[in-house]
Amino acid sequence: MYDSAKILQTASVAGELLLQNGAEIFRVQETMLHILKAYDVDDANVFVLSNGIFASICEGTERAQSIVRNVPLGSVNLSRIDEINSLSRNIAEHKIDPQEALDALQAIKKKTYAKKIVHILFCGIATSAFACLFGGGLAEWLCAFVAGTLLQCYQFFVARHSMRFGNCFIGGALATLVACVCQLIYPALQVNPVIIGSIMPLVPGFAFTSGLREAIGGDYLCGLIHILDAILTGVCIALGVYGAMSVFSLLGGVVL
Amino acid sequence: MIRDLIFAAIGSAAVAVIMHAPRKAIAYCGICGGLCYVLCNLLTDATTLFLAHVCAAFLLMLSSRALAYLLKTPSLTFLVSAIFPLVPGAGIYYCAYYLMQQDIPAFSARVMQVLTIALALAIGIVAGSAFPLAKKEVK
Repeated sequence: MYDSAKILQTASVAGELLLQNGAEIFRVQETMLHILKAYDVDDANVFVLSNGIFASICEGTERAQSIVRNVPLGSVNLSRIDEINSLSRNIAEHKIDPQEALDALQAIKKKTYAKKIVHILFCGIATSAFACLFGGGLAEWLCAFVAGTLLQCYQFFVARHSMRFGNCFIGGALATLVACVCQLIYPALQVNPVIIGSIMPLVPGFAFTSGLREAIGGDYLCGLIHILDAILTGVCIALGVYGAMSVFSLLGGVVL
Repeated sequence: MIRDLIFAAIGSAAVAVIMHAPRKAIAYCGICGGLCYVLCNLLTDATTLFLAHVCAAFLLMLSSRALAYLLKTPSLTFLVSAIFPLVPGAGIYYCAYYLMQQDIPAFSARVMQVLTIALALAIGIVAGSAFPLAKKEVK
């Protein structure tokens, strides 16, 4: 029988990493319960919120343990979720020692994935593809590529995590500014596809959908948190676009 | 239509890369995204906007789960990247645009459209995740 403190620590590190990297609430909860169950802990309570985890095991016995974790929102990393998923399946099947599992989790946490330059490049590719999808041609493609790379550079090097909505506002404004400036240089450019394409990576489509999914599934609290988050993000993007357009038309430059 | 398919696929695959999707999953994310977008467009012409998005999201969720089962990767991977072309990004832009033009009727129509699409996608996904597919599934 393993030390209950170690078991709970393993489960909560796994849960924390999952939540931080963008997994759904039910996945975090199920993974933690699976891990605890694999170590023969049947008396477990796990309560997961969008930014916190509470858990206690073996209530009323000598082995009783509980944890509270504050999980600030990070950026989505699907590879990490995938690896933790395999690890938890491994734990359930082969009963890895909790310490070994903990080491494996720390390794996953420290591992770096794609380089920043790849990230910036692919953000450009995504925005330019979406610009073409919404009716752009070659000029719009090029312009959206520039806007996308700039947007990602901004998010990497300037943006602060404490200002999430500010980042979305500035992201929307940045996309609009790039499009308008490009139109000044090349007047035949259509602004609409460029802006739509460039704000695509910021749009909180998944947050909104998963929020509604949680609310429909009966988890009203997390559902509301995600829906509110998505609505505020969307409003901030729209305000950013609006602000930049107003400034530009006040300066009298561009006819939108 | 082929053009739409290609660009939606490239967009979804690139979004998958941005979200650090596992390498083996990226191509599938692209294919799913492209097919769903084209399907949604075709259905929008044939039926209504709402129904088209419900169906597209439903099929997307089913294919994500099938792929999750086959590749042993969470269904989230495919879902989150392939849904990007369907998400009402254009709607958000046009909201700002009509607000700017002070065209309030068009603005409110756009807001309602964005919310409708989002609701449709959520309904499709919920239906898709409730649909029985295989006995033992990788979540």
